[in-house]
Amino acid sequence: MSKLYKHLFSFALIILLCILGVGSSDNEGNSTSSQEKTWYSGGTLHGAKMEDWSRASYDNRLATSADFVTKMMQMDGNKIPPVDQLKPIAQTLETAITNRNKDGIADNQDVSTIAATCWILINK
Amino acid sequence: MKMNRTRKSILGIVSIAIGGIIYILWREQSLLMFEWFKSIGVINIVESMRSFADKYYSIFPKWVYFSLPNALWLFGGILLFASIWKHHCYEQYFWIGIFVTIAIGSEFGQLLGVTPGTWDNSDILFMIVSIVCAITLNRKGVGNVKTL
Repeated sequence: MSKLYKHLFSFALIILLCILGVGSSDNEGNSTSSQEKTWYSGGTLHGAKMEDWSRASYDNRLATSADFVTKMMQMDGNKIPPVDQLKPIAQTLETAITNRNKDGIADNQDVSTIAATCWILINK
Repeated sequence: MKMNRTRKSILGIVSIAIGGIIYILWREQSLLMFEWFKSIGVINIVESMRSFADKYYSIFPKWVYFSLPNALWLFGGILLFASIWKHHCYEQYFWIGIFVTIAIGSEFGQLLGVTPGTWDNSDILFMIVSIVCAITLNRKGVGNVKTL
């Protein structure tokens, strides 16, 4: 095989490997209008540990935060706001929970416990 | 055992395939690859494989699901470049260098928030181990091997 073919083959291999790498990344920032409507659905981290939270996708964390927000608002006796007003609150809670596990210090704690603590601190 | 080009390429493909299988079976479905599976119409097959594999999720430690696939991708990629080029030639180092730079760069990009994903120290550790293993295997390929 000549050097030219080897270079072409290597270039194709880089592209292929990058495509594989991109395929294994989160589908964040690629949201379509239908995904935008359902940003609050599909959260699966309600019973998870913080270790799982830290490794989960942003979409999953945000959707789980939305569930926490609605649940805790109900418990506080507050009216659940419309979805567009709920999003910034869920984003704030998501950030607060995520920041609680910097360097994995809360890896073994329940997400629900951290969420409840963050909720209290946010509303102080 | 001498690592000739064929062995390197087979080992490279197998390690990338194992990493890919881990992603397909056990990682969250928000990954872009699952959109691709939907597009090409194989999502039902993938979902039935995932439901079968789900009960085995807890048998491996977490790093197998989160850090190992990326390391296998890097390891396999280096071996594939090594299988294309003659050992110790400039071109081999050039292409392996580009690939390693992209891989490590994308990981640090996560730290800076430039590339999607979550930064984790163990990912970098596994990547470094995979680079060392791949380069060691590659060097072994030119060892003095007695041939019949």
